[in-house]
Amino acid sequence: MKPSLTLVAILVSLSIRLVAQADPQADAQTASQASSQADPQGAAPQGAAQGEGGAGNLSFALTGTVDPQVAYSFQNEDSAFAGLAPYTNASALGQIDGKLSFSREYTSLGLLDFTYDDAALLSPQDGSTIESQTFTVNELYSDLNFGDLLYLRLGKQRLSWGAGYVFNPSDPVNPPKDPTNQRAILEGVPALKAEIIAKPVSLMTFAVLYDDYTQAGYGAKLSTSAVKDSDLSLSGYWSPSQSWTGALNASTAPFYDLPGWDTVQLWFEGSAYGEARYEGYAPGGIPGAAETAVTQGTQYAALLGGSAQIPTLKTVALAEYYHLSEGLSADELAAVYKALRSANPQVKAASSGWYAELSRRPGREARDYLFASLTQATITDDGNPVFDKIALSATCLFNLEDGSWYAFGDLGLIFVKDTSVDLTASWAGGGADSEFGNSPTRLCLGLELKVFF
Amino acid sequence: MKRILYPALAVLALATAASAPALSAQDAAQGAAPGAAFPEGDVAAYIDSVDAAMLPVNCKARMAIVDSYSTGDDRTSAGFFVRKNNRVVWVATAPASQVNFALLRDEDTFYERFATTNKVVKTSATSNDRGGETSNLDLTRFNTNLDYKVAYLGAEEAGGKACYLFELRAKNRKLAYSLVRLWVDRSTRMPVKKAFYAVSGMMLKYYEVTEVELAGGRARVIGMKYVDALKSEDTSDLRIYDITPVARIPDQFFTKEYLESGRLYPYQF
Repeated sequence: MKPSLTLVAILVSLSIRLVAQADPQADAQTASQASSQADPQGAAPQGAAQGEGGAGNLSFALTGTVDPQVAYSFQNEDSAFAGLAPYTNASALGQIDGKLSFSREYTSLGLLDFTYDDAALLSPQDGSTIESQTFTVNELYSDLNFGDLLYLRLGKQRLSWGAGYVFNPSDPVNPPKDPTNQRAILEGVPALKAEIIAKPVSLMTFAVLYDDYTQAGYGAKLSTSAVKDSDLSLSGYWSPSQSWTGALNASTAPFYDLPGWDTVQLWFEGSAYGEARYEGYAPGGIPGAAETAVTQGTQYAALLGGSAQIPTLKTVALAEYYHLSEGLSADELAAVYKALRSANPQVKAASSGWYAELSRRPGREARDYLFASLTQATITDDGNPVFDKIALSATCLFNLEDGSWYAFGDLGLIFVKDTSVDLTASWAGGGADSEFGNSPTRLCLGLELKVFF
Repeated sequence: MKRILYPALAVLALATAASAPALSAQDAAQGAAPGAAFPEGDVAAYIDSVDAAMLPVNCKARMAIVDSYSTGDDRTSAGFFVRKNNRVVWVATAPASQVNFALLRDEDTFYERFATTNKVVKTSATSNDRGGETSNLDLTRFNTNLDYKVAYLGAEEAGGKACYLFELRAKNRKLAYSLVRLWVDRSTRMPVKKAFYAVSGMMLKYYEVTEVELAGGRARVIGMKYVDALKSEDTSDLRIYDITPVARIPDQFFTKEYLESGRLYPYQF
């Protein structure tokens, strides 16, 4: 989104909202109303939380993290990407992720969620340093509600979709999650959202706004928890530039009534959409070359997931299977990587369209994936001065088409209040012509300090 | 460490289950006999009034928790909650890493919102992801009659106060404790002590009320010390304060969709 009319509209909307809410006369009136409707049995009516406003004061809150981190990456010499850039390098990143929120009592008036990055990349070959600074507005919106039923939100915002943790096939709007970088901070999209929150069914409708109105999209989601121990939603989205998407989300806790088994959860997220979002494979004009091609017809993506907490250990195990109909088969993936690794420069040149295409779809190159994770929030939870302060997590993403894998491990140390130190390692591996076997970096080691405020 | 203790506890639980009849006989000898006539009339109505004195049916309040361990380690956390009968939203305000974490109890269904995102997932009543001696249920269970069948056992002194003793049996298997005993101060109708038992009859933990500040017959502040019955050095001090009755609370507060919208963040009192 350019700094644009949409952004200006959001800022104006937020300003008007804040000024209106700061009106002291409005405060007094609302307080008086709250007082008159207070519990007739003598209950103290301070700060009655009713309707918009209440008797509380306008408040601001800033929370977030300061997150300096360093990493060292080792280039995968066997990768088709080797040589395109120096992937063996040391990097340092200073990141501030903040949320500035405005509220009055239970009424949220708006939010600014931003990330400031100062990144430096050090090349061990020549010692050169490339530094870059970025400021990203992840969310900036203003909230408005009409009574307790209708809620509006205007601005850049994350629209929530399915139950999936690392894949959200029902989400046609937000930038897709990168399953190999779960810690990435996701940006929202500029939108106007209206929600009717009620029981047993809630309705969300929204319009995704861009300066080029022909790219605007419109969608709706119906959700309900009326079925025992389950949550269901049906959603639809249409955009002249993206065609249509229809999606179903369902999650259930099948043993919710059985103590000890009540942490077992299953979820399904599936969507069908009118136009492919990724390029398909086509044999090149030169023998051995691979070209990109438009995939025709309706496509679909589906996710099946499950999680449970292991009793006593309190380890959370989670797995998700993901199927993408427009993903490449094992043979197609092998043909693409063979072409990119070809010794014949003509074959490489004819196939070069795949470099950009593969880079934009980590974890979405193939048709079938399995994601698995184990998380231990703390090793013990009984006051042990050491093990209570150590967290462990391990995840692995398997490409089921070609057998390649991407693993990530994190050892978290939480010895100082509101501060964590994380030692991380990621490792990619697989066959010569596989997705993660061609990951530009084979191994990456990281050290991260995170201070919460 | 708990994980080392658990096998031993399981053996102890079995042994305790085997001795449960003996415990019952001992209770009877102390005059704690279910079915005794309650001197103040209807037991359920009385328990409702005890609940209301502690926390109004519609209210908001703040909560501070200090978990202390035998190792000398302790942890502090804080939050606020909004209650509408058996529906409760609890939102963490401290420590900083947990700000925005929320727990929703909608009758017998529990959801949690992750601190770093607004993702909302189902969670279990018995989990104590927050740590310490308090489970999700402990943080959100305020309507005794909805969760338990209550019987009057007799009069008994607790904490130096003349009390009525009640026995609470869980109506729903999802509840953390199959049996609870509650001592209520006869003069103020405020709970004095509550003990929680496993199906086997073994006491798991109890709390004693350490602080009460009354205003107009209702608590404005109440402090409770939860004690691990098997490891008495492990405690959680839970203080509920700024208890404020609220005339009307929207039902929307207690839906998954509302929680996902992030609109309860932050709730400033």
